[in-house]
Amino acid sequence: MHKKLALSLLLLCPLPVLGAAGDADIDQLMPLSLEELVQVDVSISTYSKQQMSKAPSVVSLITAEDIRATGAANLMDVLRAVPGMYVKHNLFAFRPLVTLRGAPGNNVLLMVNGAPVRDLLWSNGIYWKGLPASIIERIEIIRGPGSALFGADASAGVINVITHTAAPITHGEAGLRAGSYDSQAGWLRHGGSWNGLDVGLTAELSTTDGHRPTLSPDRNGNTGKANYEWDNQDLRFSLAGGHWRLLADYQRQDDVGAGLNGAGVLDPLNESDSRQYGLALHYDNPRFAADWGLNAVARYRDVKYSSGNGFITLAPPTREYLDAAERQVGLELSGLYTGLRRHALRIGGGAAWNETYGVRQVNPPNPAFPIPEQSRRDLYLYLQDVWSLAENWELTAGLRYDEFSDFGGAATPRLALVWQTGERLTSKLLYGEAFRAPSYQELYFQTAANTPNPDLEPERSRTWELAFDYLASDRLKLGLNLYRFKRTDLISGAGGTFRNVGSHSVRGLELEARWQAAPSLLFAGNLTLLDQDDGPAEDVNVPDAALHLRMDWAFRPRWAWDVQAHWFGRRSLPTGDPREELGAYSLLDTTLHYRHDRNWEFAVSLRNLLNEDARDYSSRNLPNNLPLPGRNFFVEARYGF
Amino acid sequence: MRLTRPCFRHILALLLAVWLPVAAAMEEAPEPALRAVLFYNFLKFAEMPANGASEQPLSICVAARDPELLAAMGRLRERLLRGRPLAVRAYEAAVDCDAIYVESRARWQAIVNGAGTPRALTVGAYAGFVDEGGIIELSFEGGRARFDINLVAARQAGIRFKPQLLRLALRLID
Repeated sequence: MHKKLALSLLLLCPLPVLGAAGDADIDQLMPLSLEELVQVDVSISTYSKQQMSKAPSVVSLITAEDIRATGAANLMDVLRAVPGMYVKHNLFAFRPLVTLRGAPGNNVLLMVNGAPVRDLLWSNGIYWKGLPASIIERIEIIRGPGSALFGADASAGVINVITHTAAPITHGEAGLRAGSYDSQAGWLRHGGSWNGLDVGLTAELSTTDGHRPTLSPDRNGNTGKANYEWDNQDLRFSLAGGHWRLLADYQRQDDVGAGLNGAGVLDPLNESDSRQYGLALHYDNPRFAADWGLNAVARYRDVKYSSGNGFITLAPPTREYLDAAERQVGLELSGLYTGLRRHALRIGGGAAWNETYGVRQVNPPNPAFPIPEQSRRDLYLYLQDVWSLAENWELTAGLRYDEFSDFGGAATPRLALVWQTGERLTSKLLYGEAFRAPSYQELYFQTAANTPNPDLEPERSRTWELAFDYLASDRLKLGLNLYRFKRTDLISGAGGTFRNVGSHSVRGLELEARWQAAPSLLFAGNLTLLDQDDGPAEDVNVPDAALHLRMDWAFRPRWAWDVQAHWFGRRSLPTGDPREELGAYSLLDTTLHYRHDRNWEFAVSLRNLLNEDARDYSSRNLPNNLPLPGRNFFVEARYGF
Repeated sequence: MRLTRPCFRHILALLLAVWLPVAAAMEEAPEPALRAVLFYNFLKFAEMPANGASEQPLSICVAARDPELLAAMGRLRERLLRGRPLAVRAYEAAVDCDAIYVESRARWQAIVNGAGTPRALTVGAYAGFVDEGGIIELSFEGGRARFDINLVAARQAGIRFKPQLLRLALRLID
């Protein structure tokens, strides 16, 4: 990164205004002619609004502009500030796991452009480390059950990441970022036309040594740094014409350092890799026939991962190897019927098929536990009606049924009553059921610790929620959600064999505020309070309270300053764990943006500014837990075209 | 394969060299603000029955529940159009409206079922609005605004449009 060049450019040029959000406002749009108005690009598309209206629960929308302003470089930097969400890290490869409302990551359905990011063996892929922020157009988050529309694993919520695709990539961008831990990234986004079709391309290449936390001691009593380096390549291509869109993506992670093996032994040598590619063909026609809209999608994905030069074993210290791959095929068709007065009826169905293949396992000390190659098929149907009961009342009722080839069926209903209570207040009463499919490991995979059980039932959940949106003024928006979330038939391997046992309840409150105090000054924040029952199913490393505050201030023309403060409350320990409980911690991040002209923008970002010694709980194998990154920084330059 | 640092930088330099020299940046606007300002412009280019004959506020009714859209529409309040201030309120059947913004089919059906097709400039935000008796259907394609106009419905409401508006319409129903 040419810091000197960037600084001299900063000093040289007296130029126009950079708004707090970078968007034109009504006052700026008013002087435009009609011809100019139809040339203005919207920063959030109608498409997103249509998708949001499907939400069976409380929805958060995060735009590319929010992501840029806050200096987020990865999807995980964004998600940690969402109400009810906590991103915790696994000691193995420092993998991020997104928890929501006190439920573990396997209860949160993560999708990219509507396609689930999960695999049979490792849930999100053994080396999955989020997504580069540069490829994200927006993130739609349903906080609450989503199985009635999206199927399995959506008990606590749904995260749908929408990437920049054709159309509407209307702005090209190229950027470079460099910073702590010898991290460097470069990205490109471009949209254009080809033979009457819209074409889109995004690419990001990055490399980092990772934060290399010192583990003292590891499982074997040794002290050393965990090697969390990784290189990432993310390439996405899209083609759009008429009602059709073709999306293709390729992701590869090289030299991923596991850091420690699963048992907590430092492994300075391991360098693993994974790659996945996908194809999706979408057809979306809101006027397919009289009173009918039609949506269809066909998807294919191939995921492959390798342990590279092998993982260190517990004892004796030798190396074991694991390579595996998976194919995923999905097909979905749905129609929206609006021929009935006061009703909008959506009916849909589809099939999803996953298959592991190419499993190669060399496990010298423990050859008795092979990983079997398996497949899973899911056939499903769903029906949803949005019924306009009266002028200000709307009732949404939905039901989905999934039939899985391995563990049977699951039906998930939902109801949502929305009342436009006043000009500024919307009230919602929501009820939803959801389920988590038993994992591959729980059903089939014998390990040293657990015996699988092919007779497992899915975990179930029920959520009641009361939500209020209040527009206190044109510039102040408030939200309050109160919920009770109960999971039953929980799958536990505590007794050796996986079984459906017990239940777990969470009551929670989420409070949000967003205040555009002035055109150039934004304050936003949210508070989460969780009350989990303290049974054996309580998820450790989930804070009982969290507070996020953000200020974004365009304090001078062309300059904008963003500050984010994150506070996470105490996290409880599992019953019988002798370690000292980890207390609350706070992180302070700040990003300064300078817009040089219409094309060039520069930023410097300081993360964990106060160098807080923050840690995530790990297993007892690491007595002092897993240190999170300390103070770090990056600088970046963007060229828009 | 590990990308060596020099190799990585060469790839970046190549990418930039190939893609950088392109057109100038364009402005972006939040969708609710753009909808509100387009709605204002539709009014500007419409000759409505009471135009020039009244000094009363122009009554703008919003049949929507999206708080951001309501806020954006609210910011049209007190602006003048041909000397008349705009009065913006949530739609109620009992209130006379000069123009109505309709968010969804459900809201439009409720309006029509309650008081019949209103004699007002109606702007709808869902696909099929102009086919169901609405006057202007506002949509977004490729991130930009598009609109269709039902001239038959406009005539029935006593509304005429200026050519500046008509020539930008994607589809005219006549």
